[in-house]
Amino acid sequence: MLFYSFFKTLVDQKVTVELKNDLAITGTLKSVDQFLNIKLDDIMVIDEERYPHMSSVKNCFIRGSVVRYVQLPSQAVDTALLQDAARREAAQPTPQQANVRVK
Amino acid sequence: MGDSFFGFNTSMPPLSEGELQKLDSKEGNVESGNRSKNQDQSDDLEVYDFDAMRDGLDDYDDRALEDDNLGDMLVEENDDFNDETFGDATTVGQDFDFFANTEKFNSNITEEEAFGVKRQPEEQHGQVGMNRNSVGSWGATDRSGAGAIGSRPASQDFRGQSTNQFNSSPVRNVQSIWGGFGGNITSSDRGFGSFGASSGSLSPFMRQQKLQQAPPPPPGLSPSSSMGQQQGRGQPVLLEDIEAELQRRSPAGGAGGFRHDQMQMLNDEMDARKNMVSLADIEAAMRAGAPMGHPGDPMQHGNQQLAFQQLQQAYQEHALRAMGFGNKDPVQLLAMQQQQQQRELAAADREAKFQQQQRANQRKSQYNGLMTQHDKDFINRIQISQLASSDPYSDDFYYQVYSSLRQRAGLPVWSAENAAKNNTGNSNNRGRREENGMQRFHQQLQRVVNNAKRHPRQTQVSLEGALGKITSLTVRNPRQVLQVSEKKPTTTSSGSNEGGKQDQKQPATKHNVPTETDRRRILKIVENIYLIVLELEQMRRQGAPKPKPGFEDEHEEVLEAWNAKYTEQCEKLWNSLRLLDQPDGTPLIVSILSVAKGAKLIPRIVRHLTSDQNLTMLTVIIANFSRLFVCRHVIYPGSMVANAEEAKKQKFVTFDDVELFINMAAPPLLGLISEAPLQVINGLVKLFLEKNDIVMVARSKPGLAFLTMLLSRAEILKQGGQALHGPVAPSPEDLAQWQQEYNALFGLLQTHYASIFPSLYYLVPIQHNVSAIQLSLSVDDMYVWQFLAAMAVGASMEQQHILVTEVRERVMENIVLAHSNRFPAAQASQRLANVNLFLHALGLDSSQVTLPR
Repeated sequence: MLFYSFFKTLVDQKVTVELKNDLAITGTLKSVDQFLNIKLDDIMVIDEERYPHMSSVKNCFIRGSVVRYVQLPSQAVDTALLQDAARREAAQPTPQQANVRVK
Repeated sequence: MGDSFFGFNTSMPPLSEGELQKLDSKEGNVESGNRSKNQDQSDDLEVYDFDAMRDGLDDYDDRALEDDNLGDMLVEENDDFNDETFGDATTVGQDFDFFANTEKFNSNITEEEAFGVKRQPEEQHGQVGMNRNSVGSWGATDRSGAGAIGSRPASQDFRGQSTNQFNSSPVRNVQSIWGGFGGNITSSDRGFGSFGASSGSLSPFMRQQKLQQAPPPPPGLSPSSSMGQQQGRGQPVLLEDIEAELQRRSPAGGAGGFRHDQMQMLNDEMDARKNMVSLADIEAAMRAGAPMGHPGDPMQHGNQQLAFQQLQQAYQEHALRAMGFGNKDPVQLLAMQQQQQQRELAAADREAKFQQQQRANQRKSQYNGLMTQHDKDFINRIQISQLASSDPYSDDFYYQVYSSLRQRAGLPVWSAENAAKNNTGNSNNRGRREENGMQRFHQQLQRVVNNAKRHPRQTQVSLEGALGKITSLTVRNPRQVLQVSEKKPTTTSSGSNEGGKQDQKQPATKHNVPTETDRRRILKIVENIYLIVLELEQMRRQGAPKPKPGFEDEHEEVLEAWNAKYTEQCEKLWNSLRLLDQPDGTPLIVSILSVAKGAKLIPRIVRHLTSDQNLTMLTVIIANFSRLFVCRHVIYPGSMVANAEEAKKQKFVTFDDVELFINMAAPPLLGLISEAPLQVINGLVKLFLEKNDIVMVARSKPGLAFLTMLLSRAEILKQGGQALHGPVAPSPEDLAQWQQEYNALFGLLQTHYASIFPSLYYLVPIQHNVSAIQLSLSVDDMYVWQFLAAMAVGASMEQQHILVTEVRERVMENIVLAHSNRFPAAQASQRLANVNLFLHALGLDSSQVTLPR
């Protein structure tokens, strides 16, 4: 739940989401859920010429699984706190059995 | 429908030539788009006109009377069993009379759905009573769909029913004018086109209105007001109602309309039609948009007002035009015309934009209301129950701490969740309600969480007969792509400990190049310390457990247990630092400080340790100061080491690392020094001088920073600031001791004072267009001047003299540079200020220096 928690603090910030299909969208992060689905308000597509069908779209809902990157404003992030949160997450035991084991 | 039950051919007969022509001519007269009669040709949206339909009725009758040879096609045989089949006419039941029932149903829908007018025919009241609920739900959720549905039966209505029904509900027919009610402006376009032109009614009506000076509300407003009276329920005003009103008024207006010039009339009509079509369009779209979306209502109210204003404007324009034509003065005419044209253009622009907006709104609100509030709440509840957990800090750590930090800092970045909490302060009434809501919400959340705890979901399920286990993936338990096998921590540490010991036995060479395992080991140790610190911080954040109601007796025990746990953690922390060990090589704390993570860790540790423990740490650091990572030659930004060989031989540290140390690790330690009594200071300085090569230390920024701090603290204590800084005045022994130390320090640094300035000896600039001199000038050396000032304060006359002599060149250089105009004002004044730091300590000032010309 680290990233969900993290994105919750970024609500109302201007972010750029790059998708796995190379579409990059800038907008205000309106909401995020536990699957990291993202809702953006008032969007603007980077490289508008390639995506004319997006010219009239103002808000969008992006499924979390298609996101490649999310570019954030650096001052909105508290890196020390993020490190601490990551440490706590890593310290929690995971009951998972994965498919690939790395020795 | 019903007809085919009996096997008759229900398709209408093909129209003969004469009938076709008649139809066409009718359409030609009326100047509209698709004028369809009872059977429409192209699409399923029937467009009807009141008057035309009346005429059409007659046509139909006429056609029926003509001989179409249908009668010959009738099969009049096989009637023998009619009595048996149909029985007595009197006992005909309603069971199979589907058409009539659905007819009533549909008629109810069309009325309630599209108009919101109270149903007038009483016969329908009784039967509708049962259907009310279902119709109501239809109405709530699917207006557009029902509108489409409603249109067809309405047309059948029209065909099948008598004229009195036709008369009694003109509104219904008007509904079918617009057919599909889901935002089809094209259909309404057609309607309006016909509407505006058919009677030429609007323009004379408007003119009439304007000529009557008293302003009755323009037709745009009046339908709504009258409708409002009619409905009295606050239902959105509908297009059809307005249409109906206007139609009703048009016969009245039409009579008195044709008073003036035919010319003027035509002109006005053309313009009016153009404008009115578009304006009425707006109205239509607006009205059509109004029932579409409740959430859109406030917006649409605004839009309605806008439309009203525009309508008023248009009327005024028409009025002006009328008056303009009456003047017949060429100059005035021209001017008026121009003005009117401009206004028209502007109005047209605005209208176009408005139309676009309206169309967009309609499109967007087409699908409003698909989910009821209940549905939305249901889904929200599911999501919340999945996310709810007993300890928000475990799952949601970042968000919780971040928001509490922001709150403490008072910054505005805040999420909607907590806005409610904040608002409780704003308005008490509203806050109380919201508080109650929040409390109830929390209670429900607690209930959900407790349920979840009682029945924990199994993450792994193994079914009978299935091979292996099935893991149920949740958000907190996602599918892991890799599983890294965990080596036991003891094995790693023991392995690297051996490596470390070997390292220590070969101190000289090995120290220069930290081995990989060394670094890893240190990082691992730092991480472990971090975990302890995090736990400590979490305990402090949550505070001691509050007494649970009914358990007050045990509260003390609980409190004690908590305290014990806290001290235990602190002990653990202390032990992990291993400051009391006597290591052969570099002590742990020094290695920790060599890592960036470690430098950031120090201030957090200091907060949790006792002052004694902190002092111990400080002592160890000072004793090993020269071994510190940051006590090396500094690579300033924009430069690099000239010689690769040198880089390996000498030890270098980047400017950023030094800055990190100064900003993160040093302040808490320096704070400790500033609180220490003179005794401690003496001890520290002595240690400093003993264990370290002072000259080398003095060349580093941290070294000078520490020395400066020690010196200044001693001076303060000497000058008797004991009231503020410490309860005990320094004893004469301490003072004497201090003087001794000072002299020792001075002596060691003698002849080296000039060398403590930052040097770029080993460095060359990275970019070739920047010269080394430029680089050296850009380096900040204020800390050096501060140190010199601190030295000067405690110096005797002789010592001061020595100081000045040694540093003289630098001082002069700076003053000259500052006064020459080679630097921007800020830099120049900075240099001067630095020099003055030193000079003031001596009792001098830079202005006293005579500048060499």
